[in-house]
Amino acid sequence: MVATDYYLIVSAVLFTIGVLGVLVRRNAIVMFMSIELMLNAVNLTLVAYARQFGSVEGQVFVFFVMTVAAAEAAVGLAIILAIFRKRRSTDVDDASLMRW
Amino acid sequence: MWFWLIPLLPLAGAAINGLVGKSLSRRAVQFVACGAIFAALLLSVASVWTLTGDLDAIEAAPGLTIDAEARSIERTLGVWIPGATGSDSLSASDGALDVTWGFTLDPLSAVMILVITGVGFLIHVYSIGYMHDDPGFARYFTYLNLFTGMMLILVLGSSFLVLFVGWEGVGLCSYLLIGFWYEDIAKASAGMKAFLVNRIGDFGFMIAMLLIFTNFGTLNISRVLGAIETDFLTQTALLTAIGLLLFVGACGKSAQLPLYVWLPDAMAGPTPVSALIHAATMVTAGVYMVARVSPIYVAAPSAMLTVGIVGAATALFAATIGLAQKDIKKVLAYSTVSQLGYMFIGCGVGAFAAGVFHLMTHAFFKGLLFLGSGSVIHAMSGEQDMTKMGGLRKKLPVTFWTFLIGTIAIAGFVPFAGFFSKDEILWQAWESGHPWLWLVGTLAALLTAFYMFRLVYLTFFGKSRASEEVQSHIHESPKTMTVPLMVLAVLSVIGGGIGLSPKFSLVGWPQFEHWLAPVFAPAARIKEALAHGAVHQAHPSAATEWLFIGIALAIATLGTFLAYYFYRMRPELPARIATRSGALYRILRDKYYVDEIYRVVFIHPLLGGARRLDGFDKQVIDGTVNGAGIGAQVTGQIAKMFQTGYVRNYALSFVLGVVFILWYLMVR
Amino acid sequence: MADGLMEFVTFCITTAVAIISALFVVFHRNPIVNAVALVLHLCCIAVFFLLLSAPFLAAVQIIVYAGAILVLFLFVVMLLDLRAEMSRLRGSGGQVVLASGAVAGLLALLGIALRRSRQTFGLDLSAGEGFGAPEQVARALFTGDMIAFELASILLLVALVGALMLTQAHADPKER
Repeated sequence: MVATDYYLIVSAVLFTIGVLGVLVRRNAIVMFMSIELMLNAVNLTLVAYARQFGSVEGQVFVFFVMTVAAAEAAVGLAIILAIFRKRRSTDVDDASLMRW
Repeated sequence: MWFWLIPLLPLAGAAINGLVGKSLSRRAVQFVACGAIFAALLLSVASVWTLTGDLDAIEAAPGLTIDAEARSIERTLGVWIPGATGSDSLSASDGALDVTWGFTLDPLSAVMILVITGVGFLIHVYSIGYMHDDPGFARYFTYLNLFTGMMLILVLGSSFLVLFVGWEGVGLCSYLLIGFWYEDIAKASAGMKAFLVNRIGDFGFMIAMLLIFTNFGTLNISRVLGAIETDFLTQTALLTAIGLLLFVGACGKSAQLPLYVWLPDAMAGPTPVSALIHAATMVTAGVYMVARVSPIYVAAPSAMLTVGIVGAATALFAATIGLAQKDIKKVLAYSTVSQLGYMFIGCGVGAFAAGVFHLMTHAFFKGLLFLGSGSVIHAMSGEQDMTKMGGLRKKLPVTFWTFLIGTIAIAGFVPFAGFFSKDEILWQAWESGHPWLWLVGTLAALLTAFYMFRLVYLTFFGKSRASEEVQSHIHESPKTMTVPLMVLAVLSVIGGGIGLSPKFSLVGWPQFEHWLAPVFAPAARIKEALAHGAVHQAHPSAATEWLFIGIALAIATLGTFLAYYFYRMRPELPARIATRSGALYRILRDKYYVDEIYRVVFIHPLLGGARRLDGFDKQVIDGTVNGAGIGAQVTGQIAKMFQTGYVRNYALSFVLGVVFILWYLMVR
Repeated sequence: MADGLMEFVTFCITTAVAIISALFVVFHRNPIVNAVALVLHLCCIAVFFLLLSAPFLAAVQIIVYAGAILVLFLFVVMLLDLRAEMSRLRGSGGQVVLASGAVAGLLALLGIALRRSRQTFGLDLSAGEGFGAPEQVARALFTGDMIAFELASILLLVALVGALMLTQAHADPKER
């Protein structure tokens, strides 16, 4: 059995990679993908802890996280499509309305 | 007893003319104004008549206090500042100020109201003619009535504070009237100057009132004066302080050194104003006040002596300046300052009645002289420079003769009014052991005779030095202007007949000093008490008295002759002397550069300080406030940088926040 | 023993692939490469789930995440034809620096957290046999967390409607 700690470390690394992706990429879709990355890392953490404490609640939680992630992805991509129609660009920086 | 209406009548006239005067006709305005004064005059005469009668026969009424011994009637109209004690009580244990609106009629205020309403009425009538073409006709009469009302409040007031109301009121009205033609900035500035210099004096007056209140517990004049006799005789230091401070106020109002500078500039106002305010009434407020509180001065000899010295110095000082003036009104102005000095000499040696007597006669002849000069100026189409006049004797007969009478009176020739009053003052100065004051006064008398006759010769004699155009317009003034002149001339002649010393009084006429005796009795008593029964001087012989009379007459004659010599026989001499003596002449003509000295010593530093404060206000205070605004702006600019509109920046903020929180929670 | 070794080796390989694919998702220019890398990543996560006695979840991960969500992503990428505009990596310089700093900090903190909590973990696990089986999960789902389950379905309905509305063409505004 691999110790829970190792899974936690991996999850942390994957989470930070996801954060980096959100902060650095300008393409909205790729930002979304990074968010999925972060969600998955969290899922991993939850499942690891579920096994650690023997509580199936953790896995149920992950189930719901996936559901919400699905809903979020659907709506988010719909928004990106709508914006893309107007602006012909998925560059997040172009979506700024500020003048300065 | 209705005498308390006397001040209110002119005030009512002022109110009417002030509020609706613009829409009334000229006739209506002048009727209202002159009518108010005339009514006040009649009421004054009636009240004084009552005062001469049996006071005990007057029935008591609420608010009426009659003191038969002091021959005074006091009428209170209502509470002004209610103190805890409920009345002007002497022992205000909790220090609460309590003042009532009250007027006191006694011989001294009787003299004053007669002079004010009498001469005032004549001047109002004169003004009808003089101000006939002026667009500010209604405004003028409003101010004139207001002034008269305020002056009456001043002399009738039974409390120091009520007196002060009148005091300030006449100061205000003199500002309004001096600067009457306010579109001319020079004239408006003259009004300001009068007001500001007056205020300096008022400051002294106010501090004196403070001292009086904290020590006496009340501001009611008769109570304070009574208390001096009983309780305060030994507190010389306090009384000296009060006396000196009150005198500072008097210096401001009555134009003594060093606060006289406003009076010559005040000639910027209409000439009747100069006559009323600066000859007959307002400037005499200081003298009245000093006379009114005579017990204070008698109980504080050093203060009284200061009054005398300042008066004498001023008398001589102003007379020397008058010698070199070209403007007819300026000569009269300096003459007024000089004559006021005389009145203070009188008060300063304890001859209060003599000082008040001179006040009355001076009102007559100075008023006459001013109105006469107004007539001259009117005839000369506004010219006031005597070097451009001459030979008006034939063209303005009435003006000439009345003016001459006034001049003879002021020079002090018997039997005109000025002689009696001036002689009495000088005699008392010598009698009370102040020979130097007598000498200075006599010198000033010499100069007075000289410059007054110089004025007469330059203006009325010789060939006319005016332009052709001006000469063609010269005409005698209308009746409204000449009749008051004649009345005043008569008064200047017989005014002295009211008499002062027993040696002069005409049979049957009441003696002036005797009339005023009840007012100055407390002072006389204090003087006795303080003398501690020292050796009473022997009465000087009648011969000494006649000697001094002779000296006075000789001086007057000498002055007149000198003027005749320089301005009639050898008219080219004055100009030569002027150029020869160069600097001396210029110093006199430019009034010893006092105004310039004041400007450098007082005004420039004050203005500099004011400018610095203004700069401080602008830079620092406004700067701080503006700075706060700018600070807010800058903060906003900085804060704006966080709102970039880029989602990624916001996400970064998120992450940074999370990092911080985690750090704080775990590492702490 | 060999079982443990196998498990450990699987763990290591899967970790490596997961991390590398994650890096590809984040840093590659081509969005399609990003998407495919994400798919690979998700499969690795599924393997992790299997290793962690969560077979049901592993299956759901593949079916839902990789099978549905990722396909959605790919559809959108294709729809927008993003190959034409390869997005650049760089944002504004400051952003990248700060982001790197923030992320490093985050990593450090997470490490610290892990360090701190190490003491409480031993190697004894409370999970018994049959843990993570679909049966167990289903039991929890349909009894204890019933309400959450229903709400989740409502959420999905709302998301569906929202997505439809957002992507409606504006040609017929009168409808709806």
